[in-house]
Amino acid sequence: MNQIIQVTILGVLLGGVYALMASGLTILFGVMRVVNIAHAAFIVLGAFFTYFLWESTGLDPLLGMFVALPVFFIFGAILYRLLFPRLEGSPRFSEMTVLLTFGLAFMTEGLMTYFFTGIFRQTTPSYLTEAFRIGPFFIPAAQFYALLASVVLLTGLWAFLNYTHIGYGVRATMQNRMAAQIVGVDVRRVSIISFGLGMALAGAAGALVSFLFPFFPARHWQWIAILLSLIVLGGLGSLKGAIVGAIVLAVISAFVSQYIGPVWSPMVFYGALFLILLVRPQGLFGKQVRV
Amino acid sequence: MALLELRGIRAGYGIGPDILTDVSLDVEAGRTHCIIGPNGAGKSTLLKVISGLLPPRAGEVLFEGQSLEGRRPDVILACGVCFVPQDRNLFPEMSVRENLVMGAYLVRDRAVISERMDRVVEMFPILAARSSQLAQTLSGGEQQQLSLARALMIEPKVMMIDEPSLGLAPQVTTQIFDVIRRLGTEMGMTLLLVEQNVRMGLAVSDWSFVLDLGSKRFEGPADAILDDPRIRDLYLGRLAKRPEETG
Repeated sequence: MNQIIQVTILGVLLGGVYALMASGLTILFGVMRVVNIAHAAFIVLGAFFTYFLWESTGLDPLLGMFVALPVFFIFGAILYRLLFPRLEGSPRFSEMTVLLTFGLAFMTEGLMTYFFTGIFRQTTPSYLTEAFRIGPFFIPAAQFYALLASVVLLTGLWAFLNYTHIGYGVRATMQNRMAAQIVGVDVRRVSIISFGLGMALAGAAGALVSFLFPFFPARHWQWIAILLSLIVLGGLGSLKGAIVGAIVLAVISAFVSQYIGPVWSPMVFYGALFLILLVRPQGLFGKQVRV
Repeated sequence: MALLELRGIRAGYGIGPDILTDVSLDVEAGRTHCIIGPNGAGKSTLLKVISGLLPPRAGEVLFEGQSLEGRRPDVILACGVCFVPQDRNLFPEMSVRENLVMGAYLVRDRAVISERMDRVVEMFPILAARSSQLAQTLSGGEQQQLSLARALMIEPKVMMIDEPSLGLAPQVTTQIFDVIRRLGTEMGMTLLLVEQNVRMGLAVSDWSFVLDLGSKRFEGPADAILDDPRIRDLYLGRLAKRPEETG
């Protein structure tokens, strides 16, 4: 019994970070119908950013996260203005964005490999090897801090979406783009802000990844596959769904890893993806698409 | 000078053909106008062009004498031209109240918003009762009322309403049209209406435009236009086949 609780704890810790990693992806899809294949590549870029910041100034990755947020927001907004206006108005916008971001993922990976080489890296703050003990259970400190940071950021995101003027505009655009336009939301501006926001969340997630997992440029393919299954499970474009999906799947994969073998744990995500597409294609919290 | 002037509007979607070929018309302040015409005449497209959702391929829209060319939908809305599209277009996962607040997205003053909300809810009492319910749980008639109420939150000068009766029960339609009539007569608002239910649309209107195959065929006072022999031809399809005889 103790072991079951212990595995669940580890699963939830990981799930919280996955939720943060997936949140930017699902917001982009919700607002703009952009499937950002490069999202995980930008997470790796965020990890490198935090890594070099830590290496050169000694700044703790958890604090580095707060530097990554605005830097990546601006980076995202610029990238959007440079690349996406050409696609706007295309009748196959979503499909085109898959191609564009697929290319972006390759380019980001290639540039990172060129400049940072392909070796494994990891930030190693002092708390990396520590753990808390609560009764018979142990909680790795790094994972715990990462979860805490994710909760803080996701709460901030939620507050932004629900209590600010522009947040209302973003939510309105997610729910009904045309309706948002007719009540006077400048959806172009909302798109730029959302892309910046998605990128900022990727940068922040990268800061956490930098001490949770050893990373190298090509690592993003593995993560994007997991993240895409998470947001499909949750219902594309649903933030709540992405969070629930992330925690549920991370817990299941923790059990699979413990009782069947770590090699099999990624299978949980792909298995869930197949299953959800067969049984409930709109996802847990998604809206059924009317044809 | 008319409040809203359309000059030689040509428009279509994507790489598709022109839906509107050449539309010119004047919308006069304080009047209710009804656009009628067979399916595919381009009525809804015309409203999308005016609201800025669809940039025209040629021609221009003038509001209070100023060209709206190249302006974003939110800028046109800020000028006072507001659009109520036919499929309601609410925010399904927001409450009725939040939908109304969204209607005043361009108004930043909370006091003004709540004062307008009181006024609007007075016109549509059902919305007060449903205030905290999600928009997606409303019935069709309630959704249409919310859609109109949300548009009123901006206190527009011109309100364009596309097919208000679409998919509604006859009794509910009557209610909706009562409200539209009140907007025109009591509040003196300028209205531009598209309606399939021609008799109903004309009954609340002062003036009517007849649209067919992407251009305006003729116009006239709403109470007399049904007597025009060209109307019968139009709805029986003869005009569509041989436009050169009557055009």
